[in-house]
Amino acid sequence: MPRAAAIVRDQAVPLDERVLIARILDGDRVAGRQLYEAHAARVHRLVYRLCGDAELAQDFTQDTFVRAFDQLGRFRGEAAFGTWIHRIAVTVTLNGMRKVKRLRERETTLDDDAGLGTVSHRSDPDLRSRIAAAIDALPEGTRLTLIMHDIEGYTHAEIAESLGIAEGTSKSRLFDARGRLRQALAAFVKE
Amino acid sequence: MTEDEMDERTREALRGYRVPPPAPLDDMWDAIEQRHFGTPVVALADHPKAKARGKGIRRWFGPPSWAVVVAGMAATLMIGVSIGRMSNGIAPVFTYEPGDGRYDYWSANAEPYRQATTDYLGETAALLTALPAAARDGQPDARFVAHAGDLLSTTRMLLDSPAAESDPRLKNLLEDLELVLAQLAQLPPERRGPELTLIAEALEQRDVVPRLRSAAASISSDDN
Repeated sequence: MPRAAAIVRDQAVPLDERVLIARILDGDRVAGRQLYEAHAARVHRLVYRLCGDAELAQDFTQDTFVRAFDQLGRFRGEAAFGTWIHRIAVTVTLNGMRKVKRLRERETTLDDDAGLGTVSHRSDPDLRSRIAAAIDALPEGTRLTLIMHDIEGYTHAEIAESLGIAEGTSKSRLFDARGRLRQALAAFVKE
Repeated sequence: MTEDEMDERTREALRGYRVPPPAPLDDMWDAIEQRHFGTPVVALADHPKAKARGKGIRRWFGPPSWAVVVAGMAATLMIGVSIGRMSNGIAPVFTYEPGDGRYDYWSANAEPYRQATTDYLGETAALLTALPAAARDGQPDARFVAHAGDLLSTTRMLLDSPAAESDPRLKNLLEDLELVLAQLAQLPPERRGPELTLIAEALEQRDVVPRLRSAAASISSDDN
């Protein structure tokens, strides 16, 4: 285990994020590691749920923290650091996914392979894959809300802060997502 | 199947959607630490983990791309011509079509910021297109580094301006430029060559120069 990691993990006192942020701004990398340790696993989980690829999740999580640290001087503390970094994570991941999608579409055109990046709705053998396909087919904001609320357990307030939307919007998106999933499942049960 | 059974099965299936693997915390931190806090490049390159880690780190290394040099020079030329034409009240001579839409703020009302932003983008493009050559030379002069520092100050002022607040794409670009310029402005004299190579590679990965070109074209070609 790297020395910095050992120091961080041996810390018994609760993290005071404001102090950590001040220390990071002074170039203290151990403080950086502490703040990272407090949020990285949850950020990585969300990023992975959004992109579904281990390597991309690692890259996007790294980009998220680098961007957050670089912009730390502008963090006003109006929201929790956790909310702020989740907002960055969502932005980084969605932008990154758009770029990946464009690249894959280009490759698909070159390879004349129409199947990449799509999910077959005809041959899904079980409920889980049907659900996965239904989630993947949701509009971006609706999918984000469903993943954050029903899968990762974020509150509507956290989702609203992270996505820059109203809580009511988060609730209506979730309602919409569940409705669409029910439709997909109803079709599955009939089959 | 009852509705309750269906709900329960749905919840189970949701929990199984893209189950994340354990987060590679140490590997991710190594990369973050190096990128933000500036772990010495030589030590990183010699570190056995750097060789085994995968593309996340490996992609930072490698020779500068000639394509970047050529594209950068072309971008600078186009931006220069555009700015020159603008200053004379003549429409831009090129018709670049931004791939992802326009920089919306400039279709609204930002005249006080327009010239400053256009000048800034032109100067930044010129600096960044000189970067691969500077990386090859290994020792950019102090003026290069000082100019990066000046542009960094301008970047931060623009980031705090209504222009960036009103236009997420411009803000995003400025944030990327802030990162690059901050790295350039803080280059330690003894490691300038390798650091410049890393920065040049990062520029290529993040499409910074094409985005600069897109921004300059979009802003300068607006009729409003």
